[in-house]
Amino acid sequence: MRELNWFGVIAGPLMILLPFLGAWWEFELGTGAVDLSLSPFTFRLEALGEPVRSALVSYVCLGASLTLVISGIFLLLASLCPRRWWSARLLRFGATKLLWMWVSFLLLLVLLSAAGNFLAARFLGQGFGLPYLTGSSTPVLNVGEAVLILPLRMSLRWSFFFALVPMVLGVLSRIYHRRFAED
Amino acid sequence: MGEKALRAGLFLLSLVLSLGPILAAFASEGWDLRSTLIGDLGPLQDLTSEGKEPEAEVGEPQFLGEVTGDNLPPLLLPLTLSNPYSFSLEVENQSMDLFCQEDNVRVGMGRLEGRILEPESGENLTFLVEFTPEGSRHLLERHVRGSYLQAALELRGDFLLNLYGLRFRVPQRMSFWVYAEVVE
Repeated sequence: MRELNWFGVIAGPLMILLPFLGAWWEFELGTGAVDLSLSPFTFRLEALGEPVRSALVSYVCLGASLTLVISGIFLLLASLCPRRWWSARLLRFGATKLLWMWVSFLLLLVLLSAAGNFLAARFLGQGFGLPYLTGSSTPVLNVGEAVLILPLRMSLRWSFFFALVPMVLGVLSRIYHRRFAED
Repeated sequence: MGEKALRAGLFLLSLVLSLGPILAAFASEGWDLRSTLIGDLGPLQDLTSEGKEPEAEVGEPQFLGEVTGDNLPPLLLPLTLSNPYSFSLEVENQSMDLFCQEDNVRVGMGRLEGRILEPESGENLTFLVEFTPEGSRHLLERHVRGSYLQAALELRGDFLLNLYGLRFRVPQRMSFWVYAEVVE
């Protein structure tokens, strides 16, 4: 029977698919005041019903999509031909990219909420109560004599959790691939 | 040789994939930092531009009936509100206390039905002002000069605006004069 790195054979196509599964995280302020959908591969921001563009974030998302598609292709090739001389190198390139993207994304979201809460407490002198990753809150801001009530909601979408599958399989494929080098 | 070439190739690929998008983004926006980070803000630009603020103008109040020595009918207070922004603003249902300005006594209440203010337009709204029995008595006993009721009144309370689910509560004081003949 042909030798394969089964973890990589499954993880590769899933990685190729992942950038096309939509946003991982959504943020809503009010009812359409600000709508943000985000993942390492997707950026969609609407403010007051109109789209707001960021060339930098859009291109970075495009770069991340290309990176993951190429990683998936390399991982699949390396897993299908684990005994070839180039296999270990390609697998090393592709196996853990998603892990870093997932962890960085998670950290970014946690840091954004933490920074929001810290800055509100530091400069506005009032608790903002921003949730972490998911949840809803209604911060109340005092601006001069006026009071601003900001109902907001954050939620993680299924694609964020689905990304765990190729991520874990990618890491396992890298560990499993050692056996081909040792033999 | 092949191994080295592959290693170098993968390194270059990583470099291109990480730096390429950033350079491409700047190049596409003519190396302008601001427009690369965030492009056209659309209607949000209105909120940050100076001199654009909603304005309110109180019109002439009008009693809904005859003012007599023992009856003060409700009155209508026209209010012109302008929305200078390129997005619509919702004025929520308002309820404000009415005070006699001179004596600082609460004499009634003003109610305003909510309305959507269309972008870059002005809307005529109307407060329905109703007097409490104590308020009527106060005004008719203390502010009738000859056969005319003359009093400076003030609506006090929070003005509620809604912008796509964001709620603004702005404390407001709107003063106006009432002048009406008291019919015996």
